[in-house]
Amino acid sequence: MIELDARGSVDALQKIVSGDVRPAAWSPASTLELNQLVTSWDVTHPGAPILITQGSLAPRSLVSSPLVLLAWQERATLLRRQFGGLDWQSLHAALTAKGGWGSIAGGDTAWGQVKFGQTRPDSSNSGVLTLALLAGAVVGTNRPLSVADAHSLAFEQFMRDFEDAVTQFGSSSGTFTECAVSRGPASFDVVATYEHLALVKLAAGAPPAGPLELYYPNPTLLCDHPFAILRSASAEQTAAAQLFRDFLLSTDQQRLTLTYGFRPSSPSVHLTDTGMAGNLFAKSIPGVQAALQSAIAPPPGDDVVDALIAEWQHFYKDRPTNSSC
Amino acid sequence: MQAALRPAWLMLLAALLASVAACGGASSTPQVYGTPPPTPPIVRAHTPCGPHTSNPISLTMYYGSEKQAWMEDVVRAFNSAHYVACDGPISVCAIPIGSGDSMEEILAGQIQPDIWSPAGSVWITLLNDAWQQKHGKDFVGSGASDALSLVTSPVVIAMWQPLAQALGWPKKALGWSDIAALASNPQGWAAYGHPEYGAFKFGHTHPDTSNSGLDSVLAEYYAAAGKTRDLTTDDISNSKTRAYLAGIESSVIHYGESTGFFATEMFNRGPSFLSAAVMYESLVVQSYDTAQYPKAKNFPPVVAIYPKEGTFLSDHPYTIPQAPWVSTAKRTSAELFNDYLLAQPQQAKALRYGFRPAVTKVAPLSAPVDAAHGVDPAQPSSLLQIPGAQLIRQIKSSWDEQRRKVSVMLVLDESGSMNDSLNGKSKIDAAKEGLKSFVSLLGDADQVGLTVFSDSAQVLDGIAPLGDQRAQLNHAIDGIRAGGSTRLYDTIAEQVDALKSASGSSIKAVVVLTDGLDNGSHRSSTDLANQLNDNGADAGNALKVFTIAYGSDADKTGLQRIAQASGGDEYDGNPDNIKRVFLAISRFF
Repeated sequence: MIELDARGSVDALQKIVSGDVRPAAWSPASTLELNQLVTSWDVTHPGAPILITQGSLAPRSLVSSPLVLLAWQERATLLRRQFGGLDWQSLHAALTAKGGWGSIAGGDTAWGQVKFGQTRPDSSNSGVLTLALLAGAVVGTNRPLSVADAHSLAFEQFMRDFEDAVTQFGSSSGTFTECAVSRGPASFDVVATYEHLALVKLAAGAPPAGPLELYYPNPTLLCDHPFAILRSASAEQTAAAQLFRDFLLSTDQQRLTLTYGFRPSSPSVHLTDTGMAGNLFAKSIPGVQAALQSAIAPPPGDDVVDALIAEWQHFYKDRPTNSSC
Repeated sequence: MQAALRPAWLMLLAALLASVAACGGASSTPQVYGTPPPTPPIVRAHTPCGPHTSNPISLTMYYGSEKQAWMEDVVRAFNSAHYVACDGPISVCAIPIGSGDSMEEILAGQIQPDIWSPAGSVWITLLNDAWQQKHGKDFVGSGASDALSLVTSPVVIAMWQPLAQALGWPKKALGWSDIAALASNPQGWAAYGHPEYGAFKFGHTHPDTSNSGLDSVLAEYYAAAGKTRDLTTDDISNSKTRAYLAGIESSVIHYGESTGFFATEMFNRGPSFLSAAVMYESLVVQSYDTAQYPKAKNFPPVVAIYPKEGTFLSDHPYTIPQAPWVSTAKRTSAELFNDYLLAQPQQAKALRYGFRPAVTKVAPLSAPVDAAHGVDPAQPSSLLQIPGAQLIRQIKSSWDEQRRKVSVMLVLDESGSMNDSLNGKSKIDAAKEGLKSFVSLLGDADQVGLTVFSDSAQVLDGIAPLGDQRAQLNHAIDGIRAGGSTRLYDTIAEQVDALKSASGSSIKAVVVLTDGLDNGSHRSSTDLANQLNDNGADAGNALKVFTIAYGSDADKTGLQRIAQASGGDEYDGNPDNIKRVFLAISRFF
């Protein structure tokens, strides 16, 4: 029997390290958390690695989903017209516009300042990916980020201009996206989230507050949902975990992930599979890039992730989290 | 006299005494096992079961009193269904309480909730900050399902429709700048073509205890600074902000613990009592319910103003504390109750009480949250950033300097019966302790006096700034000795007349504590009530009398009549709760 325990990746990471939870297998949002677990565990248990990392039991990606931006269409149109695009630099100009929406053609003073939304990077993977993409925008090239990049003054200022524009940080990508959409543009104008969460929202039709628009930063980062087996699992549990993982990677199960907006890992499943009822990639949702046009940035190393989170926490650790969102 | 403490406190005391059936433990009726658990309409984490037992699980929930009507409705239905999570049937004892009060009582170790649902997530930030300092960890976790919103309601300024129209509503967006302009205009409503409505009379609750009061004060500071985010220490302390705050606060008729109290006073007393008050959109919707507010049909309708400078959303998070008293059995049961509250029937019920459902896919926003009930579902246009805990503390401290000050005469019964004991405690000694705690809650710029009475009245300290006479006042309280009869109503009338004739722009109030029937006055409680009942355009600014019926021999009916006639409030007191009663009264100032 499989007992599932759904919890945020960073929360789970901390509870595995502290011994509060002892799973046989763990599937966090991304390899970034796996790497952090390996590093943290190694500090307290040198020479006794926590994960099986070799051979057929090594971590495998189940599905993937790129980081995207979700905006209210009416407002995205005005921003694009005013700032010539919706890349990080244009967004930066919008967020720091003195006079807020009142100074943007077609905007309304009652909309306040332009607002950005994201989750806390110290509790949610999409928050980390957002910071990494902001750092990449400052560096300007597609080279891997360094710890020095995360601590640079240029990044600090750029990051603060974005983070100051967050009304309230979310704690988890799923609930945050749900909340940002259901509460309308009063809370957030543009939010960073995952493609699969955005597709579910877009497929449900326009919310009462008006239609939404999806767009992809270039480059973007992938959230790869690895499935890892822990060394502490018994031989029986290990065999069962492998069996379950292979089941999840089977063609039928991989096709099913299309209905949740995920990109399957199995090369035998195609995104445009019209035979799969409810495939969100086959629904002609405006803006969706079934063939991803944005480049995929190299994932930051765990030392860079730690540095990005530390930089963020220096300024925003005590900022309230909308944990109800 | 009816229940004199507000329902929140009655419920709390009753729960502590285990005298309310719903809170007295699991039901003893035969259990119906296997009621299918509710299906949550959202994906959420569930704690794995511990060792299974058939023990009944009883959960204690403290929640923001704003959602009392909905919560009582759904808890009753939940308890009668005998749901089972991992163990025996679950029963919930739900106790309404101000969000700030529950936070303070959790911190003080006075209550240990299995479920805590304040009116806004800002209280989680504040409690976690304080809990971290005390225990080195958060009280509420930061996981995805640790604080799911049950319902929401925007914080609005409720105003009588003709008054809002005089300001330009609905064509013109209104906000704090309009409130500030009105508050500082000596002509009041006459400047807007409505002399019949007198001065501008405003209300919001106390930010220490009530969510809407805190949100109101935060929003005023944002408006003063011309910002919607990134409020700084300099923004709070600069002279322009302070003057803006003092201007708005000068029109406040009184503060208070409960947003519901303001709603009741406003909807039942009309525009001469309150022109506008900060409350929730849900209360504006409820103002159209004439069964709930029977006198409302005598007045024009109420509309919600969504401040153009931005506002806050009261989001009612549901939390299960990370505390040692919450066992796995309780946690799994509390998660099931959370699922129940988020399921379609309960979300649809919330809408009927004027709340915006948290899960709109199962209960889309519709009537009565509509224009026919004075509200606009497309609003608010912009939400304000919630500041961090440290900045909120600075704001509350700054507000305390800018709030409208009070002139209050404390009137204490020192008749012979006050020498008796109640529940093993001396009545006079406990009353003196209560008075001293009340004095300690007021600021140096507030004005306080002290009068005692038995056969005759004696002013021990005249009304004067507390900063000049705090020690003297405490000394005078210490020196009070009981003896003689009860000359109650004449004493109150004399102090009301004296305070009314005093100059100054402060809130004027008389606080009376008595334990017996009047046997030494010429006038009756009805005479005094008629004298206090102000029918003028500015009834809201009239002197208010707060009464404490101390023990069971007091003239509760007469005291209630007096308090209600003046627009004050009445309380049941005894040596055990007297400090809490004085604390509740202090929140009005």
